[in-house]
Amino acid sequence: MWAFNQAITWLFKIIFFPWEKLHPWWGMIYISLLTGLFMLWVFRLTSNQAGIKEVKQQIKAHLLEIRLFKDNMALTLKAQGRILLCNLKYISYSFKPMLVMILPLLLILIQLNFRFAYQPLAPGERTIVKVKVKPGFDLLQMPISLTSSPGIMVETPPLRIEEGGEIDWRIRAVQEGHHLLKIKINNDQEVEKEIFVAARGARKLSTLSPLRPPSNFIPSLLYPLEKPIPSDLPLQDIEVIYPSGNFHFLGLSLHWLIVYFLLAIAFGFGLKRIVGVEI
Amino acid sequence: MKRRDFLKTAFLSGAIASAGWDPFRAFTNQGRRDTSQKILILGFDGVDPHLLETFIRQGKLPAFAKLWQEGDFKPLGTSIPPQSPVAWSNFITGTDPGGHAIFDFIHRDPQQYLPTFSASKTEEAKRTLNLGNLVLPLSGGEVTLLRQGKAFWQYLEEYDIPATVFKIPSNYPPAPSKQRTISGMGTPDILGTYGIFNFYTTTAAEVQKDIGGGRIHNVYIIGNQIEAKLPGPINSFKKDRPETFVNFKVHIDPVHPVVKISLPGEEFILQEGEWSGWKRVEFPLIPTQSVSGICMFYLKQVRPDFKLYVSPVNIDPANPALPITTPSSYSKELAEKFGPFFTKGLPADTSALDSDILDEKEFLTQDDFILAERNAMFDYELDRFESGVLFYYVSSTDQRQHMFWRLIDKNHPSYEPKLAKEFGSAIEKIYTEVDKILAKALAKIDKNTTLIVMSDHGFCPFRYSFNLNTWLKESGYLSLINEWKQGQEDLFLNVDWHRTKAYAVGLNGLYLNLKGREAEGIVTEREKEALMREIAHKLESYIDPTTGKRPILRAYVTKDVYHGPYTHKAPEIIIGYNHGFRVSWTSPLGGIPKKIVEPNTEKWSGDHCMDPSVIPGILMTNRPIKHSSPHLYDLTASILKTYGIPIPPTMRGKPIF
Amino acid sequence: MGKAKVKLDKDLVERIKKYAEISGYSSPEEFITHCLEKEIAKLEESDSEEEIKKKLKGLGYIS
Repeated sequence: MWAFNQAITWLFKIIFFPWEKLHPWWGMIYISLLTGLFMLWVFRLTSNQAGIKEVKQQIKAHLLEIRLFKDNMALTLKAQGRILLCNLKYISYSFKPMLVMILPLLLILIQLNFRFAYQPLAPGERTIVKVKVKPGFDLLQMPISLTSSPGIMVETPPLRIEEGGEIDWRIRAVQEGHHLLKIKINNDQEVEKEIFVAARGARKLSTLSPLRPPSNFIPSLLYPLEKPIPSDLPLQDIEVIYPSGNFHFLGLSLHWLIVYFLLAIAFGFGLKRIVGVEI
Repeated sequence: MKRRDFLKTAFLSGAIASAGWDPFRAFTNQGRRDTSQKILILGFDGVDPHLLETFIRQGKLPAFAKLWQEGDFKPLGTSIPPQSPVAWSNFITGTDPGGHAIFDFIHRDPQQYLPTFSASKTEEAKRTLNLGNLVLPLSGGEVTLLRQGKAFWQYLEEYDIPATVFKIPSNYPPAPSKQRTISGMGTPDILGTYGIFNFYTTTAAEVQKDIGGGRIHNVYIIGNQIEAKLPGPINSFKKDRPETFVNFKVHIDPVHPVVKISLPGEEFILQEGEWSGWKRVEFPLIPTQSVSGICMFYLKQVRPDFKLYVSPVNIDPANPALPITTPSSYSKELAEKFGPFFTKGLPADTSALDSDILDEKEFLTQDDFILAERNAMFDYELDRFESGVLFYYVSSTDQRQHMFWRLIDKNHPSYEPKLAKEFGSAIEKIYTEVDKILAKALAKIDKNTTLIVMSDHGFCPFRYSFNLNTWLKESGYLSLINEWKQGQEDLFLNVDWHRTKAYAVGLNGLYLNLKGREAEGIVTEREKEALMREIAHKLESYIDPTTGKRPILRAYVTKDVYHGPYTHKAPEIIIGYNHGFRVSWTSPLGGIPKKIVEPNTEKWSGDHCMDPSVIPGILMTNRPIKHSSPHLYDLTASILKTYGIPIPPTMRGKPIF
Repeated sequence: MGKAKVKLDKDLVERIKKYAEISGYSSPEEFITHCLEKEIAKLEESDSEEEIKKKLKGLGYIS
């Protein structure tokens, strides 16, 4: 699983390489364009293009029928029924491409989440590091400590919340750069977590991993950027709370998923004729 | 839109966003005239000429010393009464209270004999639609500035002279203007009050305390966890008008003095003795509608008793629920640049210090936050000050003198030698802080800039409190319904209006119970004049038997001293207290305790609600002052003269340069 | 205008009837309504007084 995650992550690193020094808007427009093209391509390969064309023409014909024979109730109703049938047929034609697209889209979304959903910590900014302990361990008895490379300051002793098996620390970003948090357990085991600090001024596209996952399948699929925590450790996961990376447009604060889907669909529709795809 | 246009727009939007373009900013700076003459005004509330001179002579204020040497320094005549809202209104409009209608912090409703806010009036929507328990407003509610008269920046605007007016008191909601203004003193907290803090404690004794300006909540620790509510504004969308609140949880470590506070959408960790910085809270009203506020948490103690202080919830400048700036985007611009900041009129929580919820050190820490914010914003405004007028205001000078005078005055009833040793320099420190602000201003100005450093009034000790309503009662002008109940009720609830000729509301005001004006008035128009003079004379002659002093220096009959169309709205008499005396704590809201004069044992120990001659303000400029005894309203006339704007006949002031 | 029923103790109802007649009310209902309105007005008034105090008390100059 880790090898697969690494491969996907590398692939996206290459895809986003040209946009790394720029504001995330550029990367967002670019990946939405690519996604739009990818969706069109999948549609062309997997859908019944002739069928779609035909069913769309049929719908048009029935619509015309309704307009022409609007005084004939029976005919209008019949036409409406047929439109409904055609619509169902149309949906069934799109089903296959949807199925084909769903898995790659999921992988894309997972990767995009780490590029657009968060912002790095700014120097001086404080946040929480949360460590979840596996059930059955006594938090109060567990010797555990958090240290860091010089760019991060650990400001508080561990705060143990028995309900939910959580241990929290407050940290403060001091220097820009990639740093490592080190969690020492039982005096002999150590586990690390990446953390990234960058000045807030000119926002750049950056890849952030908020959580180091456990070694189970689903969490490691959802959090592919860091190697899962070895299963022999008493820890479940380690999380750094990063500030949200919403997009701002004309005074609105928009979640990246909304921006992404709107742009991707807009590109898809905009380019369908150029690419020659019937959707 | 054609597809190609759409694509072009989409790309353009992306490019704009990447360049950090803000659609609001484009409209804030209007293309206004560049002026060769500039005026920079530093308004340091309550800076006292005697203290200032003392500190200068001791070599503690190098910037003030330099300005005095190169320019001029005179005491500045203050308003009658010398309360900040009145004094700053004199400066804003160039008139006295007869011209701007602000006579006190507190006015009264003559129909109900109840005190009211003097600065602004908030009215809810008049037309509403009731749907079950929902009340939907069909017209907007309204907040009105009660200060009358035209502000100097409104005159400047007519002549195309740009002005930035930062937190001037008596300008909430800000008077309509295209100039950049942000409201100061008079701006309420999110509850619409002068500021109410919340204190969460497991100490039962503290919960019993009745304190002004704060609410104490009894909380319980269950499984190292506390569940609590932060009260918000009244929900006027609901028929039963419930209080809104934000639920929060506190997780406590079983051993270490450290907690995690979980608000909806945000968590943060505090150690004992730490402040949280600003936290945003959203009070839900109905789906789609909420009110945004900002507050600070302070973890005072974890064990043995848990104590958590939450500052009054300020209006969120990034999303203001009430109007606090002109143009409305100005507060958002500042919030974007500096993050959340204090918007409440008087930000320092003097009530929390007075009621021992915060101690001296904690209060000063909070005041330092306020000062740091003001400093950062001053740098920003000073940096872009290229034309016209910049007015900048600091409140901490006033607030610290109120709270720490007891530690520089050995004759004060609240003097404590031990505390004096530790915090006796708090006042001096704030003078040195504003000296640093002045130094920055001196470094920036050129030969075409007039620099005015001013305060609205000075300061003096508040050692004894005078129960004005009790004096009225003892002198036969005010009667009670139940004699035995004296001292138990406030808001005049025990006053027999049919046998009362005069009553006092606010910090300096005294009203006659006039027939036709007051709901149950008995004094006729014919009796009025003689009665006013009689009361004024008796007040001025009164000698306190315990101190042997005259608590009242002057009792001003307002029609003798006020000019302008609002004089008839003023209290009949304004009291000018003597050095060391002030109105009592309960008299302003209609309390009538048994004794006339009592020692002031509170931490609030310095004051200025005295006679204007006792506590003049300061005026220091980089140009010689021609006027022998300048007054606040003379500065307004001087600003207009600098730009060749004719001084309107309604303005009382005369130019000082 | 809608009406709602309220349950009262029988003895109380008798006393209400008696005093409504003595005081010159046209019906016991009118007497009850008058009493309740008077009480509610008092509560509403004290509410606004509380509100006033709450609003002003944050001002450091008073307590």
